[in-house]
Amino acid sequence: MDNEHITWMERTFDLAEEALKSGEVPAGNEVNETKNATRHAEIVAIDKVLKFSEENKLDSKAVFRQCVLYVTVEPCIMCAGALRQVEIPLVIYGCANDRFGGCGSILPVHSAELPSLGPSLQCISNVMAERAIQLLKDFYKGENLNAPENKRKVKNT
Amino acid sequence: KKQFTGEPTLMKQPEAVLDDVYYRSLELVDIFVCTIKDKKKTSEIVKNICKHLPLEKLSHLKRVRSNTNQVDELQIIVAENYEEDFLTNIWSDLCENNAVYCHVSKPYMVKVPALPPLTRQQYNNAVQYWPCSFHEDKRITRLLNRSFFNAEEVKCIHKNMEEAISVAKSSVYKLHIGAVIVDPKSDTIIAKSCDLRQGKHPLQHAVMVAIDQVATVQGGGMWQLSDKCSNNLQKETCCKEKGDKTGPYLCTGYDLYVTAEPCIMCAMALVHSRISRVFYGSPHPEGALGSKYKLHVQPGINHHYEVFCGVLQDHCHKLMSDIT
Ligand SMILES: [Zn+2]
Ligand SMILES: [Zn+2]
Repeated sequence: MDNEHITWMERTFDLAEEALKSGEVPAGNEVNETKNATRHAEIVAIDKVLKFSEENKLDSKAVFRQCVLYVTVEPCIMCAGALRQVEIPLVIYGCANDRFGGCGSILPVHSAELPSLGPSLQCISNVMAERAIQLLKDFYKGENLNAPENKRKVKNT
Repeated sequence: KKQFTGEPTLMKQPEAVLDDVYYRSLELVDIFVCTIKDKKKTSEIVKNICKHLPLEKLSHLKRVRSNTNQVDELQIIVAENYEEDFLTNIWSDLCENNAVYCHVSKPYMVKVPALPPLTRQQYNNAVQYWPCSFHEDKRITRLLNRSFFNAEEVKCIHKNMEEAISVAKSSVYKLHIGAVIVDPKSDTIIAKSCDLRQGKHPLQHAVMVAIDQVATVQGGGMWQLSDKCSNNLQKETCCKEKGDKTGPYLCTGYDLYVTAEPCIMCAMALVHSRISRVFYGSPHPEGALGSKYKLHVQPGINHHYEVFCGVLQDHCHKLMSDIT
């Protein structure tokens, strides 16, 4: 595995753990404040890339194609579809999402034959999995009711 | 009744999209049965065989049937498989130790239904081979027969889909899809939107926008939309109901009407949003509610909603005809 990926993954975990310690909702997830249950961290991140592209007068399509998504937990079925829709090519995640996982745990949305949605999504899983599982456990010990989309970080390569 | 014969398509019921198990065709499996040679010994034989050779996988089958060829004979199931070693091991042991087995024939193969019938049709097919137990689910029967909704409800469903069609047509983009979220208890529209994915935001499928419009009505929302194709309408109705400021939890109790079958992203967004029912018009080959997937009945998922397709299908299909 690329050292660069490890570095970004570590940063992703650091941010997630900080957020959890300070009693915040999982970093990036805005379900509570928006009253919209689709406001997962991945969707927030996609919105931010769109805004970043607009502010910097960049073609968002081209920006997405150069992105890697780092996330502690496997994206859910919805988010896997969203990542394909915006054509992010690669997602790197810590542990499986047994409840909603869209990169193979419940459905393989990342690789399914869905040409009208977008190109398939490459996934690298089990990156620092123990740390991800520990984070999930700590998260469920708290009383937040949100889906386990704990942390995202989009890196523009 | 005569009054509906003039407009059969208008009153056509939506088609329920059910789990594949309700549509599966008959699957047969080979098993061993014996013929009971002395009918007077039947109860003794049945008792003995049920004790020593209980059915596990095939518990939907009646243990004994009258032989269809020779009416005065009975057949009894002795093994729920058809493997040689049953005869050499289990059966020969039993025959040695129990005199009652001299009243049955040597075991032989018959084909029987492998799975319990879930619908009347599956039952009718299954009993051609072997008698089965069947507990009819009346609700499933009405869904399959398209007799689930009354005329008033069908009218209401069509009215709401017409609303979705008209919002689809109002789009400035080439892709014409419309979505409407309705509170069926009060028959009010909470939100409606056309599809905005061809505008600035690729995730703004009609369904995603409509879900966010509901959130906006409830005092939240993630997208500030100026597009005239999206409207949150019933802020007052929604929030004043039950006297609280927040309205229902997400889309609990609400119905979605959408002109085209939702994609996998939208279908899962509807799971997260706790929608009650989804009605759509035309199917899509990659759709997630009947065509490519049946996400609403996917095992392991924590919320399930009902799905109906084919609502004003021809009209909805026409909306899509100018895109490829
Ligand atoms: Zn998600
Ligand atoms: Zn969609």
